[in-house]
Amino acid sequence: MELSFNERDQASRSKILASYARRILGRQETGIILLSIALTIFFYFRNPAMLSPITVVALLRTMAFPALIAMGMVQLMIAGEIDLSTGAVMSLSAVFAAKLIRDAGFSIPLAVVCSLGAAALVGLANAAITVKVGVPSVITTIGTMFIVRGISYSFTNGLPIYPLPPEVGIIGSWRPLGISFTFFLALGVMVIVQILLSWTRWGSALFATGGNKIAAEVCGINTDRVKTISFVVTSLLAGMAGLLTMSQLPLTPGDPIIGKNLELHVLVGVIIGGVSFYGGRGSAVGAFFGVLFIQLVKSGLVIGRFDSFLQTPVLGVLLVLAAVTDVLRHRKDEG
Amino acid sequence: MNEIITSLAEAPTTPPSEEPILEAKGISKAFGHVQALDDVDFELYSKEVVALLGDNGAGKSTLVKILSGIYRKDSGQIYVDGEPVEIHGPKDAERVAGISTVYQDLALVDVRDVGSNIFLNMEPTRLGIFINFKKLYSDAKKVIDVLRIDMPSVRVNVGELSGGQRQGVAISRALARGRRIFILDEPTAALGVEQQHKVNDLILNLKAEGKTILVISHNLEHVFAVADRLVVLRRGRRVGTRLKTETTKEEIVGLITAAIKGDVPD
Repeated sequence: MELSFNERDQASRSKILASYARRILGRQETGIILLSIALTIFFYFRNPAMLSPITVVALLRTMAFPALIAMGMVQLMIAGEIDLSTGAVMSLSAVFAAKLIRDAGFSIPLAVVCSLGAAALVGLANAAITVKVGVPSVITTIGTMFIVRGISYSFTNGLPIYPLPPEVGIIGSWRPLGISFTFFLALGVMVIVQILLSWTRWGSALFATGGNKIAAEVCGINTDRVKTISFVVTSLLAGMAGLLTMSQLPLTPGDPIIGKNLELHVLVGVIIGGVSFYGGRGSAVGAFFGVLFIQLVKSGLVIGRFDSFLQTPVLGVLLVLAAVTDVLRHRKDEG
Repeated sequence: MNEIITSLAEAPTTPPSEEPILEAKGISKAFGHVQALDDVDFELYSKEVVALLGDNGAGKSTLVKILSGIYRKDSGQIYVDGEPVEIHGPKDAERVAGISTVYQDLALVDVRDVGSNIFLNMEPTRLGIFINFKKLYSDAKKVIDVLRIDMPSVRVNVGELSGGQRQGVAISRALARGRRIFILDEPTAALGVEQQHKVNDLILNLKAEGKTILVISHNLEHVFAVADRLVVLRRGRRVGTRLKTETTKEEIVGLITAAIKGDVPD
């Protein structure tokens, strides 16, 4: 039953078209965007203030920090690892920079470099313990989460570090088009990461590392290096998110409480956005909208005048639902 | 099936008289007290298909893993094109000897498509950064066509393919890397009869491309369909070497199970 080459090409062309259609409609990105729209409409009918400019601007500003971190997390999770220390790293980088500026007389750029260096070190530690020693990254990063958050608190005796020079707030208070700079930064990083994932060998190495580590290594990919870079990038982005939070003077100076529970927002958002914790699957666009979706839920519950205690359990329910979806999808793929 | 038999009739059945492209002499390897290989010689001539046979624990896997650089031999010497070489790892095996091993579990990334799997970590790029997908897919299609693998498209995910097609992708990947010696570890394991025939065709097509193939298999049906030469190991020793045209399944089974005395004393 050999088909001629022409027939085979045509057969495959219609198959390719069908598979494109299936890909667009079946993509988790499409689903999460539609869900976000539906949720916005729902909360809008509860309270039209949901779509007021003030709400929208605040919502985009707040979601920008977890979204920025999610752009590292998506790469790390595609490579098959996870990082739960990101919220703590945010806190450390903010507190460390604030301390250097206020007490050690460092210039702001130097303090920024030093505190990003500290964030990168946490990433390296996560990578060393996970990749070299072989501790599952969930355990490693819960450990570093407690350690790093603890360092942050003992550094400051639990109190915010202020006053800081007003120059610290230059970037944080910059509002191009009325929206926070951090949002545009997160958006820009999303575009870059999506390009990396879809069109570069780095992306290909990430998917192979998380999809089948042995296959990646047989083809000469250094999976340890791929994972280490992903850990460090995730930590660096968390460090940047921490510094940008601090930069929103006078709201939040070098406060050790920065980034509290944010790692969960990132995790739930990324998984809802279609990134698999089995590795080998996910997109930057999906992760970005997943994080936006979680922010919509959080803000919407407040604006829609729901019980404020609902926020945490709803987040938990969404995490479990997203995880169940992920497991079912994985099982289907395994055949 | 007829196809296979015809191509067999055309295939050369005697080893060429030139020197082997890969030769191993006096290879020994012990794991603790177990002598996995005991002074084994082995040779591959250009453009032949050799089957390595033996019961479980006969030393097949050990020998292959030494050739592909996964294990270090205790003693003996490996020659490539008559030159002595040291193979310290799988990368050495690929670079020094042009050996590519296609493993039983195939080492494919199920969530990526056929083209991306074939060119994994050697993707053609534009400006040195962006993967040139157009070239990648057209090159992948060329490799698939050379091996005459029945494949709906090079853009389908490998996870959606049949066992025979997956074997084809794994072999295509080695072929795309320009290797000349292919070691196939149990290529028909866990495949249905129809898929097994496809793998037979695949091996013969690979041979027609001028490649040298070493097949490890338990499946005599498969071995007699593709191999030119059969090498039997028993308890770490090479007990027999037969040209396919000059032996029978009964003799080979006898050599494997020790019902027939080997060419060397046990």
